[in-house]
Amino acid sequence: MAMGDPMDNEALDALRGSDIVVLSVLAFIAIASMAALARVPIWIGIATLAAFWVSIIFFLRLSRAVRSSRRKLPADPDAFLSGARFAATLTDALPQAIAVLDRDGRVIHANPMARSLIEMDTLGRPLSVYVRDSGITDRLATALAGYTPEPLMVHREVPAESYISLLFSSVTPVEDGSGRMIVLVVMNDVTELVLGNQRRADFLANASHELKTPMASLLGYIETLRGHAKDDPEARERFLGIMAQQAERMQRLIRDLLSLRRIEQSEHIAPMADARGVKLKYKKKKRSIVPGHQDETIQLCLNLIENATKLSPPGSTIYITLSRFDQWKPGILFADGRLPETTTTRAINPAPTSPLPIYTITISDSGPGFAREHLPRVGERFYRVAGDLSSQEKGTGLGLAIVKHIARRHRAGLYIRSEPGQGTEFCIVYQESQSIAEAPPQDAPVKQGETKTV
Amino acid sequence: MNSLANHIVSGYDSDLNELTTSLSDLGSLAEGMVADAVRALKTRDDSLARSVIERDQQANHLQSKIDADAMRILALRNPMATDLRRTIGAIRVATDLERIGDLAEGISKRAITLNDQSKIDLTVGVERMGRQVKSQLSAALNAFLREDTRAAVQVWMADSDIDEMYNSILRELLTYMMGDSAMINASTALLFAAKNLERIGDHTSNICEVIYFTSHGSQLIDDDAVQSLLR
Repeated sequence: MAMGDPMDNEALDALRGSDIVVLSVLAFIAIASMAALARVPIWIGIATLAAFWVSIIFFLRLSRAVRSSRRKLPADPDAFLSGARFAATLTDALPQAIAVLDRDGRVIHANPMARSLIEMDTLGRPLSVYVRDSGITDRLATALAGYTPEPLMVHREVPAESYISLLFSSVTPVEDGSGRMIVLVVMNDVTELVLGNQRRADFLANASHELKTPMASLLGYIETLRGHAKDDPEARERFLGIMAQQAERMQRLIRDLLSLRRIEQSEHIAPMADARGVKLKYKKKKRSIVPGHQDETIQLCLNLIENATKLSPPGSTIYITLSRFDQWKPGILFADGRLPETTTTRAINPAPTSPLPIYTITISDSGPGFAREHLPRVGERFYRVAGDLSSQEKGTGLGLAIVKHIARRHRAGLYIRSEPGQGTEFCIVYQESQSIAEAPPQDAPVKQGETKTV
Repeated sequence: MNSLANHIVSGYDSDLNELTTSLSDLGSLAEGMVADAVRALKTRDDSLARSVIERDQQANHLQSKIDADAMRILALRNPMATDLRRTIGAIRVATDLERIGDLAEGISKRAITLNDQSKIDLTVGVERMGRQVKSQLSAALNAFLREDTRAAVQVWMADSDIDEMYNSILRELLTYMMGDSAMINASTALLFAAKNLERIGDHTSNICEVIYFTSHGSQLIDDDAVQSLLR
């Protein structure tokens, strides 16, 4: 009994409200039965009292047994946290963007892939800060109720158009009896899947339309040459000339489409400028390395410079300036520009506004410029400002669309401003990437290229 | 990852977080309404337009919920400094977003009117403007939720692009209306849609001003960099 005492005391200490109710009911029954039995022999009274005590002791033992069976696992308040922490560490090793949420939908952990996928900078804020969709709340509730919700497709437009599919599932990191759960959000970038087909269809529709036009004209002339122009040498010469022009246009278009011009351009741009009597002036304030696909970055600059060269009057100069700014702030755009400051600027791609250093490339020509109403359409596929000018300048309307596409892929900003009669300026805004800031550039030679100009 | 340890938070924190979540929901709702209204205009899709009109109720409901939540925080928690500005900002942004929802509803109504008439080519300009407005709104909401003032200033400054677009559409439509009086009905509907988009752009700028005020406690228009650009 000496051994049992402290345990009993403990059990008594731990009496709960429900126990007290049961004990009071037992006591009430005992008192009531004693009152009822007051006139019967004394041994019945003693037996009742004994039965009362026996049932109390039995009840206490039982409730203690039940409680200790419930307490089989140690109620360690830190177990949940360390379990969650462990689960979070595991996600860091997976080649998949995963965020860990608590019950209220706050991000308590995100692995590096998730951080870069949805540009997460701080933890502890709700997931809906980073991805907006009214379905998130529902999905989270479903996951916490123990079901697997349908994947959620989120469409984002900033910084670049993208589609992310989110899969929610809840996990109990530790069976500590509290039933607390964390929610894993597995994120997949399905942009290419979703946009791929759509873009391909659009592109084919546009391209085939563009190819059809010169083709129709070719066929028309062939028809004429076979018919009444058959014996007219003068008309034949003229028609053949037009046909050759149209065929060349198609060839250029096809070459553009296949992007075969990548490197060969770098060789022809300087001679082309010379031939047109246009001077190129390149100025850089600092040696700059920006992240990007080398070929594409070169193509981006070359397309813009080639455009500028085509549009500049002989004897004028194209200024190409590369600058570095510690971070984005209003006013860095066209800081190197030469047009009056009142010129309307249009964002073709808005630039990222991160606290990281920013590089700008400004390309400024003194060509005819774009009229105000054309500015919003610059960068549209196959859009050519005055049709006659472009065909005379042998453009396909794809150059700027390619520029825009490359800038988008690099999450670079692309701005244009133009003053009719005075010239056009393009400004490309590159952002120094985190990886570059941390690692010396030669460590990752594939993804980075020095921006070169001519 | 010490933030794991921080996850036991006071009720105050979770109140503020809930406010953010509701705003994010309302934002995505408004965004979706604008995008779908413009798409309904483009594809002449009556049922899409009607779904936008139905969603307006939801937006109104969310806005009054945000209002009530913010009011409760003000009354019970006595927020100070950034928290106070954030709470006031939530009320103001919710109002702007609700108005954006109303304007998107207006565009949808015009789209339904337009569908009763024969097809015209003039929607292209309005549609392009719609896309621009929608992406501005997305950028502003992103900046708001991430409290990114630089992005907010950028979006705010780009609003002039939208005004420019509106003016060019106005001119274009006027020319058509003068040329052919049969076009007046359709053109007016489009003009209303464009005007609504322009108003959405203005509300987007308002949101940017709120972002700036929440972080800095001063008005965006007084910012040195902005001043130097506006001169």
